Amino acid sequence: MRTIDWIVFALFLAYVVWDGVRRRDAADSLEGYFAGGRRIPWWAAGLSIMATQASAITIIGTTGQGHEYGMDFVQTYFGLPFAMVLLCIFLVPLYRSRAILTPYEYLEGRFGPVTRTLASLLFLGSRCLALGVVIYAPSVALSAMIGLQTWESVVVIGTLTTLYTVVGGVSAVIWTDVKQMTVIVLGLLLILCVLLRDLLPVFSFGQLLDLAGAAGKLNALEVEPAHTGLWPRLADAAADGGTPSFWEEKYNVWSGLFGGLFLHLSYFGCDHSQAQRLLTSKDAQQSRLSLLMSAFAKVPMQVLVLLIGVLMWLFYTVHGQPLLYKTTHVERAATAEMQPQVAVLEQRFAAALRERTAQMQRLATIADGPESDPAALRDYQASVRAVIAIRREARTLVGGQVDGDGRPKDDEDTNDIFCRFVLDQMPPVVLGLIIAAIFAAAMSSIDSVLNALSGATVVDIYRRWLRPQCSEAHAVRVGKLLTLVWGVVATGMALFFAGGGSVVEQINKFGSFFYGSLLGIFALALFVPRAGAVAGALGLCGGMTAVLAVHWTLRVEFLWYNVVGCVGVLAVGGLVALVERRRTR
Amino acid sequence: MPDPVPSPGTDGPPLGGWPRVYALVCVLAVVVMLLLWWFTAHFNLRMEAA
Repeated sequence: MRTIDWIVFALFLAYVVWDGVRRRDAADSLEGYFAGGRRIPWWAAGLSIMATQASAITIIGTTGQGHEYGMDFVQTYFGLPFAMVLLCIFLVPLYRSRAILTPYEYLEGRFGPVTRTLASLLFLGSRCLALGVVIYAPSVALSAMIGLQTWESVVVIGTLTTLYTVVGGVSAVIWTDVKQMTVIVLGLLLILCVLLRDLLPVFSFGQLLDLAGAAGKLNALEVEPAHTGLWPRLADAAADGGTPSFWEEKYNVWSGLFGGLFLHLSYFGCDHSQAQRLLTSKDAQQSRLSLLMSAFAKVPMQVLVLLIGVLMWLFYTVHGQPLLYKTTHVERAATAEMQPQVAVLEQRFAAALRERTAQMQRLATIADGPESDPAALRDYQASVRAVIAIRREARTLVGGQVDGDGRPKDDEDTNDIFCRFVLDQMPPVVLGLIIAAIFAAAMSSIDSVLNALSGATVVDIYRRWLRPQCSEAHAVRVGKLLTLVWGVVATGMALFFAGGGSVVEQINKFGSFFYGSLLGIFALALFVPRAGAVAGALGLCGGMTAVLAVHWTLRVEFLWYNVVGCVGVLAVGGLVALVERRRTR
Repeated sequence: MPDPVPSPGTDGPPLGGWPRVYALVCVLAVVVMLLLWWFTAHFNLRMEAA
């Protein structure tokens, strides 16, 4: 990184910390510290909702996802606009009808303290697990970009974010999120401009779309599932081979619409790190508007991010691609032990790249599109597959990862593609700004979760069970102390996290274990009026048990866990409510 | 400089009522999906297995 990039990056960090810390005056009461004094305008809360969800994952993981697998990940978000509408109709009026500080407070009035505490613990557990990943991802990027060790990056991100969140509370979180979201969007648009500047002199935009589409990268909406069998396979049976079922396809329009609907209902409505925004505005109208901002903007934004990933793939296809993206892979490949095998792979890779370039140029000259020349299309796809296969071979060789049976396995580098591209291709100042955007994305997610974790611990655990009579000032002090503690815990978890695969998927997987059950308990409260304390507590346990049972016994992709958890709570809770009703007759 | 506070102008629901806003969100969501479906059908070709 050049000096000017360091200056841009350092100025941004200093500004964010200052902007957060200066909000300390608004954080002198519980309502001020955890609900922004209910004075946050809807557009700021809306941008904060988007920034919290965006995370560094959106930039690093999703562009990598677009590069490797195309645009199919966008389907995960198809349920989001509908989820937002349902939340506006059902949950917002519920939350804004009383002065609550966490969504789980509402559950106490409906099901009693046990269910409230269980739900709060579910939130604390799931978010704490995911937070380590949220810090780890940008730390890896930073360490690759500016030469810091990963642990040093983790400590920098964790410390700065914790500092302004402790001091300024949720007001600091939201107002820094607004600036961070602006930098994220600016960074993405700059990358798009650089990519188009480099690609359009070589191919027209239509040719670029043809080339990406012919490689299966423009798979934004798959109506026909790759597998149609509706009976899920047992986990043991699936290990022996056989045909996968419909439930094993990770992304298609059906899993996105239905699994994604449940995931987003739960994430935005029942996960305190997001639902907290609904409690910070003046009234229900403002809360609705802040939610609907995401409903309008999220899918187009995801399309843009994935398209950037696809354009990065085209860039490397046109201008030549590295065999390995991950810094540790490159270093290992250069060792004397690996060199002979890597040299052979590099020779094969160079030949494969030449073949892919030739086939790409042949395909681009077909006036009527790739489908009009099946032979050229077949050769092009074969050349694309050859490059993918050699890269996989190289990653497996130098990655040093082994599977459960001790065999070498692919050490994916999805999260390193973006970093490599930015580091190699971005001009001065822009590089600094984009690294600032990665930091912004990380901090905007971490700060929200820290404040929400602290809020749930103080309001649902400390004040509810340990010190019910404590003063407001004492509770605020404990809230600040707990924000600090959660910051240290999250940083510690990130230090011990060793992530492989796609980070963006890991986050959603963590969440999907818990989210369905959280959503289910709110659905039980709303739609099963006779469900009482026992039904609520047993229903919540039933939902979690159902998710774990499905995870251990069946081959089902994670988006469906959200449906399983929700239906599990409703089924068990509803059944218990029915039994209770018969008993009381 | 103090942060802006909600203005009185945002008090009423947009478009004259929330049901209209919700309908607009849903219609736009469907339109975006249809556009992406057309985009996929027009440009994307599934990679055949090796």
